[in-house]
Amino acid sequence: MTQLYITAASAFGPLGKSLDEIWHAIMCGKTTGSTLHVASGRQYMAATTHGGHTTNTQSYAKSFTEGLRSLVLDLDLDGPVDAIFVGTAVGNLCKAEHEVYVTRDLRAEILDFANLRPMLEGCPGIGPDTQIVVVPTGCCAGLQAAGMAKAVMARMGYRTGIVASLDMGLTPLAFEAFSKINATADRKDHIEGTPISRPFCKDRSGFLFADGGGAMAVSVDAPASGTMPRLTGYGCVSSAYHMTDIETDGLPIAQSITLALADANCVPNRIGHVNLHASGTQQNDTAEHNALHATLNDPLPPITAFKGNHGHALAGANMLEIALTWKMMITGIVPPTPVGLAIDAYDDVPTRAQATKLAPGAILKTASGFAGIHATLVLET
Amino acid sequence: MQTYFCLREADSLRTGLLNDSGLHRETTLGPREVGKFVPRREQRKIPQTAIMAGVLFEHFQLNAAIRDLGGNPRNIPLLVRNRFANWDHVADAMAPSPEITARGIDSYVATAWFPAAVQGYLTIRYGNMAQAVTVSTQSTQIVATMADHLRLGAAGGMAVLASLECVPKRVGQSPVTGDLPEWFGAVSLITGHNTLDDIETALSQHQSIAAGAGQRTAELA
Repeated sequence: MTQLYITAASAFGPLGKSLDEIWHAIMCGKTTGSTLHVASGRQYMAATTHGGHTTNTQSYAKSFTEGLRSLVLDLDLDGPVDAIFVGTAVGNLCKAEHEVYVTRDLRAEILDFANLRPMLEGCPGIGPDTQIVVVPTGCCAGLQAAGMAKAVMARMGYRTGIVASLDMGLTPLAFEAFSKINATADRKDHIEGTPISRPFCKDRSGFLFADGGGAMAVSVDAPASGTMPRLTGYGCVSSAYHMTDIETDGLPIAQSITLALADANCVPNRIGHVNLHASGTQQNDTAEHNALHATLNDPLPPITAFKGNHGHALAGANMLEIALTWKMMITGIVPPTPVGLAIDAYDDVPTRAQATKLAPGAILKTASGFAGIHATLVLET
Repeated sequence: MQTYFCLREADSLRTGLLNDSGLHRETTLGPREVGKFVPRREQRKIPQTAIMAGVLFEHFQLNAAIRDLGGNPRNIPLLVRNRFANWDHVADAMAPSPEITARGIDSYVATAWFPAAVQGYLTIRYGNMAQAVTVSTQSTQIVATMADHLRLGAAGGMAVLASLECVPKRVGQSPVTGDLPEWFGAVSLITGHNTLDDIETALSQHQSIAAGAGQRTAELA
């Protein structure tokens, strides 16, 4: 059984510029999100890393490069890794879209998802021989990137790697594209004084579009002493159902969980915690809830859903949430439910008023994306 | 291993089959024939890469070929290599004004623009519930190793390996410049008999097709 040891993690998002800042905010139950005025003259609900942005696309155009560099630098690596696997939904859209708005030539290297090397120049974790792999499959691309690293690293003789996911997609094009299909939280449905992102709440009305990302340094080699969080299982299926809709029976998600458990050689009653995709749409929450009941024993283990704190950064959310899950594993603490969230959609998914101890056992991490992709990771210490 | 390919030529698609003995069955399909494989009403919802993928699967009856080779079209892993988003879908909608751009965004952009549109199109159209993944990288070895990993455990030891890239010459009023592939699609069916070297060879063949799009296809064989 191949497994990857997680030696370090990093993140940035609307709640902080570093994993520690975000962790602190989440431990305080903080949430974020507001109405953004976008360069198109329209307004949308969003959670952003860029303060009052985004009427000026120029100020946002460098955000993908800057974000990727910060994720790698914050891992504080001594030397280059063998490979970096990056999941993303929109890649360097912020830069490309800005070029269109200023009527400059769109250079192929800006459009090429694989062209990350110039962005990472000078980062200690990236050397001339570091292989760069991008998985551009949308909102579970980060988990797919992790699954790919797990599948190929040992076979290719790679000892060390980085798995990252990042999306800086708060652009006029992306806002309007998601708005057109009613996927995002709508201002008219928002209840003043409550968090905008409302996973597992009865009155959830769509995902809160956000930006950010996360990364983890991984090794195929066990630590010389002690224990270390590790990625032990991966499962992924296509639902073959719909480009945007999720089957609410949750069967494809359940299949991805079953595959991940089998890959980890882990039985369901060893799952002590679940970190859900929990995008805040009616379909997603129903499907995930049904999938957990189809695969895990009752009562369900404790659940975290960090999009309730800082919204949904597309694929970037994957590794941001895995970085926070890693933080739970090394601290042994489960953060409280975000302040102001009712968490009343299902009787067996309660609120958590205060931080609690992380239950022993393995952790499931789920994610789903457009094109009918569902993926699950198993993490263990 | 057989590789089925498709190249854009004006408003037509040139298709062909490369196998160990060379080039076979080269055919040019006009818009009407393409419409038989991917209905016109559907074409406006999906990018050119997905149209090419649909044409390749229908024209060459690839699901039947998968069954003949011992695989299951409803449960066969799919790996798509694509370095680009589907800018063709928004090329005319985009403008120097973000306001005009926002007005031009239709309800299919969210699913048609992103590179994984092809894997979604193929898995949904053919009810394929296996893992599908899209990869952008310069490393042929990593893609080949991943494809080899995916086919292990799949019915008949099979996987579908596809490369599709279509970048328009212009997006909004901005010309697209630099080293770009021609609009192309290539699909190889990996079987239990193929080695890692075979898969790398197929991927190199895909790249040759992309690079040689303007050449006679016979030279690619």
